[in-house]
Formats: sequence, C-alpha cells, structure tokens
Amino acid sequence: MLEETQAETPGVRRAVSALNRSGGWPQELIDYADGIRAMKALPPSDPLSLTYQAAIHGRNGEWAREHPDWDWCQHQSWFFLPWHRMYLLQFERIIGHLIHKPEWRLPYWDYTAVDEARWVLPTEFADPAADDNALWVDGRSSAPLPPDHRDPTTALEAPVFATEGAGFNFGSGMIAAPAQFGTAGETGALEGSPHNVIHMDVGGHMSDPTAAPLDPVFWLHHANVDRLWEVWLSQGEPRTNPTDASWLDTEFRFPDPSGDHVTWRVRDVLDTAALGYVYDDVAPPLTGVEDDRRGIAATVMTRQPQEPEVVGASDGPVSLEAGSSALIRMEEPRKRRGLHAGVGAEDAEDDVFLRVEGVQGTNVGVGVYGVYVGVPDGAAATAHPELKAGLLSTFGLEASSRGDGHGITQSFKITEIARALRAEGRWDPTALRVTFETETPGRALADGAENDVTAARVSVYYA
Amino acid sequence: MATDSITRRGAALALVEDWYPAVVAYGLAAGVWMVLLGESSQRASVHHGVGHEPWAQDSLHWLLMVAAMVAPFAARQAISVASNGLRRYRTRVVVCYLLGFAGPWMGFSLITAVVTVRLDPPLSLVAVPVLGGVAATWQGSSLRRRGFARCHAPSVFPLRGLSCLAGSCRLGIRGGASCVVMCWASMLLMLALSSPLFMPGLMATHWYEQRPGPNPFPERRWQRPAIAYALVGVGALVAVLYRG
Repeated sequence: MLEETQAETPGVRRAVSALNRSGGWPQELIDYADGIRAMKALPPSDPLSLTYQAAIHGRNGEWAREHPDWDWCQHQSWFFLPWHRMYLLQFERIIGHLIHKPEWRLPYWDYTAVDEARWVLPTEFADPAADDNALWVDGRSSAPLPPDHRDPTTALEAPVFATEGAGFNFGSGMIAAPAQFGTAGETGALEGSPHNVIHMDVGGHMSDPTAAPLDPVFWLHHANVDRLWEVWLSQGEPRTNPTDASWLDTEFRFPDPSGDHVTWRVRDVLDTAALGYVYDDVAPPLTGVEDDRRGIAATVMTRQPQEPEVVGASDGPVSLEAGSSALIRMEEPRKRRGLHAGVGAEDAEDDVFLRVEGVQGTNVGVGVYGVYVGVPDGAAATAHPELKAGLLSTFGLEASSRGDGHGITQSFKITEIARALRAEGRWDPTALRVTFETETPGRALADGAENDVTAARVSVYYA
Repeated sequence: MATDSITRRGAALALVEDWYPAVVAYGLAAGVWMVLLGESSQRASVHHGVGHEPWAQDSLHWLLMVAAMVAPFAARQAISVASNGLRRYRTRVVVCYLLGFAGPWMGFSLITAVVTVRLDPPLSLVAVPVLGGVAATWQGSSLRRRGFARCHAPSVFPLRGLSCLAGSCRLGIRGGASCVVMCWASMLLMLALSSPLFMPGLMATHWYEQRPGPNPFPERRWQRPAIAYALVGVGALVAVLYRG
C-alpha cells in the first residue's frame, strides 16, 4: 500500500535552501525533526529506530553483535550509489510512516550550488538551542565548506560509470560481489569528492562510517549525492548506467516499515519516479569555482577512455604526512593514441591520471589531503592551487585497512595540469613530483600515536 | 594511402602487444593440459587408482592434474597483475607471477603425494565421501572467504629492474597461497578420486564462484556454496560410478 501510493504521484525532493521559511522552520524540516525524534524514542532493537538504521550502514560501538541486517553499506565499488539510494528510500519511508505522512520527501543539502550561503550547514541543523532540536548533534564543524571541497564538476565530467581495475570513473570500480570497505574497487570520482570530503569536513559523527547515519544531516548529504547521480545521467551519452547483469541483478534487503523486509535489485531502483520521488533540479550546477580550462576538460572527457597504460610509479610506499612528496619516474607511453601510427601526437591527446593506490592507516590524523603535482622544488604546494590534482579523503580509511582490507585507491585526472605545464615548459616527461598537504585535519590522535597513513604506491597512467 | 597503411600496421602491432601476455599465460596453461591428457591416455589401460602405480608416476600425474586445473585461473590473475605495470615488462611480469604462483601449489602437491604414498592400504572409496564432506564444509568457512578476498588485493609492485620481477613473483606466491587456502579440500577430494572426469566439474565450480553474480554475500545466504556442494556431490558420484 505504501509503495503504491508513492509510485502513483512522485513527490519532489527539494533543496533544503529552497524550502519555505516564511513562517519559521519549513514544514518539511519540522516533520523531519519529528520523525528523527520518533526514531530515537524507539528501542535500539526496533528495526525502525535510528540506532538500528545506522547499524545497517555500519555497526557502531553500542551494538557489537552481528546481525543479518547490519554492516551492509557499500563503498569503493559500483554498488555505492544504488545501495545508498535504497537506504535513503527506506529511511524516507520510515520517517513518513512514523509521522503519518507518507507523502513526506527528504530534502537535500545543495552545497554544490554557486550561492556561498549554501556552503554551510542549514541553520536548522546548526542551532543547538532549546526545544530539543532533534536535527542538531554535537561535534560538527560550523565552518563553511571550502569552494573546491563541494565542487562536483570533475566527478560529473567522468565519461563512464564504472571501470574494471584502474580507471577514472563516476560511480566507483566494478567488483565481483558486494563488500563493505576495503575492496579492490577504485573509489569513484563522486564518492571521492564531494561525498567523502564532505563527510570529513562536517566532522563529528559524519567522519565515522559506523556513526554517520546518526547525524540527521547524513541523509540530506546523501540525498544530494543521489541527486548528482541523476544530474550525471541528465548530461546524456556516453554517461549511462552499467548494463551488466552482475550489477543490475544484485540484491539488497532492508527492514520495511510494515515489519517485514523489502528486497530490491539494483535494476529496480534506477528510475526514481517509479520509486515515488523526483528532484526539483537535475541540471548540471554552476559551481562557482574559477577554471578557464574546464571547457577543454569537458570536451576531452566526452571521449571514451581506452585501456589504461601505466607509465610510472613511486619506487615504494609513500607516507602521507603533511608536506610529504613522492617522485614518480615516468616513461613515454607505448600505446599513445596515434603514436604507433606515426601520426602527430597533437592530433589526439590522451588523458593523464594520477592514481594513489592502497592507502591504509589505523592512526589517521588527517581528514582530507590536497594532492598536488609538479610543484616546483622548494615551493609550498598550497601556493600553487593551479597544481592541485584533487582531494583525497580518509573517510572509511580505518575500516578499509582492518583485517584483509585493501585500503583506498583513488584516481585523479591531471590532463589539464599536464597541458598547462607543457605550455609553460615545466612538464618533465621523465619525472613528476606528487605532494600531499593537509586540507582538513582529522580526529585528535591518542597520546604518543602518530599519523600512519601510507599509500602502497602512487602511479601515473594514460588512458 | 600511406597514412592509412601506417595506421593499420600500428593498430595491428598494438593488438599483438595487447594480447601477447594473454597468449603466453593461456598458452602455458594449454600446454600443461596437453601434457596431462597425453600422460593420462597412456595410463588409462593400466590405471588402478592412487597408490597402485610407482610413486614417481603417481606423483607426476598428480602434479600435472594440479597444474592443469590451476593454470587457467593463474593465467587470468597474471594478466591482471601485468596490466598494473609497464607495458614493456608485461611478459616478464606474467612469467614471474606464474612461477611464484606455482610455488605454493607445488609444495602442496608434493606434500600430498608423499602422504598418499605412505598410506597402506591406499586410499579407498570410504575416504571419498569423507573428503567430500570436508570440502563442502570448507567451501562456506570464513577462512576460505578471506583467502578469496586476498585474490582481489591490489597488485602493487615496483615497475623496473629486478625489483619488478621479484615483486611480481611475490604477488604470484601470494596468489598461489590464497588459491591453496581456497582449494585444498576440494583438491584432496580430487586426489582421492584421481579421475580426470572430476576435474572439469571442480573447475566449473570454482569458475562459477569467482564470476560476478547477483548473490550478495553468498556466505550469508549459502546460495553459491550450496551450488558448490551440489557440484562436488555430483562430481564424486560420477567419479565413483566411473571407477565402479
């Protein structure tokens, strides 16, 4: 019954900044706060409680025992986006059920918009004031998000959803079967930034994958991530969802408000209107980040990538301390488009990528790294924003490093930087220095503990 | 047009380069199969099962069976590892990886060959259902799942020089060890049966397990392991009937 009602008249998930505040709090957020309050009032063993729902993402410290419903969140793989869509959908239904408003739709935090006023937490979430504000939690950062931290442009430019092995992709790498953290799948562009970065920038519960859903802003953040999936698709070919049966037919199960469970295949959740919701705006955002080269990048990225070719890598593991760097010895790619044919390279240019592989750490003192390439010797990397390849967030790093976890692997597109350096005569085809700087500090480490984040290898490849 | 012919020649060279490591890897696997089939056909008229042939012949047959079964999976992993290194080193990486991969398996095979030769009387059909049960139980164990996860660990190694070759060999040893962890129980069952008919069934089981599928966390729902149990049971039945 609930499912049919939602499917007949798709509701609209709106930007939280666009909600009607003429009478004080928007009704959607009043309803949301009531729903969160109701979820918190339920015993943790109740599948509709906030604690139980958070444990579906990852068991937090209070609930150490295993349960077939828990520890299902999908990261670093092509199941990241569909699983979180299902997770949000069920959460939205639970809120609607508890407040007796099945038509209620989850707003999204539109930090990707140009308006700087949207780069801070919505006021209703930031006010710890009286009357038991259910949307406020302690520990969050109140600082505005840095401009490039909430910029989805690079992710939206990715031409493919998923790649097998190394590859710059939108929705994270292909893996054979679902897994929580630490798989060998590549962290996709959207998951890497802005998703992981925002988690660490907000901080508090949001910086811990096992506690993040306890923060009410988690759900608005992921609603925006889900919306960006629709934005990416709205750009048209070649940006399409995978057609592999191994992705489409993978199932996930969630507790249902009716008391039973609902099972969805990925193919069941690709049409949001059929699920009962649409977004008010799925146009590619103007992000407010100045970059004259972005137009060139957009043209280049519409071309389908070819098989990656590694051309250089660090000689060994790289310790990711603030200001640390690695020298990558490179050589000419053998399979450059047109190279074997003797055609001039200027007629067809490959994309160049930097890949940080197997990042692991158990004492993680940095929340977000800025990754720079080609910084002149003796210069501070932060003085060269034009050489910033991207952001590497440590969200989920500890979980990815435990046991048999493989850590985090993420690629950055550096084609424009390489082109600019060539134009200035500063591109060395035989060597590239990669520098890591702290963008967002991590949690305070225990006395005597030191940041031990290390990348197994940093490599450069053409595609 | 001269440019077109240069383009075609360049594309052909690129294609050869792309496929060369695969040719090397799968070619070695195919070669092992040919040797095994040739050796098996010679034994067919006089084969009486494990322990009835001279130890050296039995051991060689067993080593060939292991190599033939493992080689296609090792080849696929070797190609994947080589793609994470420089193109001009890919063939060397493939060979070093396969050599490393063979190490744990040869150790396993030699140990089992020595153990079986000391058994008096030789393994009987009573051992078959017992080993089948052990293999089926092991399929769903957490230790085995960890071995499976290690198969997909990042393949990171130095790109140049002796370090590159040593690194790819090390990855091969890791891959081979993970493979032994996953497959030792079913391989013991195959040793007890010592039947070429069982080999395709076992290979199909492992191939099915490794391919992407729609069953999330199969160890939680026992779907894929259940199918593995069925294949193990069918294979054992076929082998028993064959031997009967």
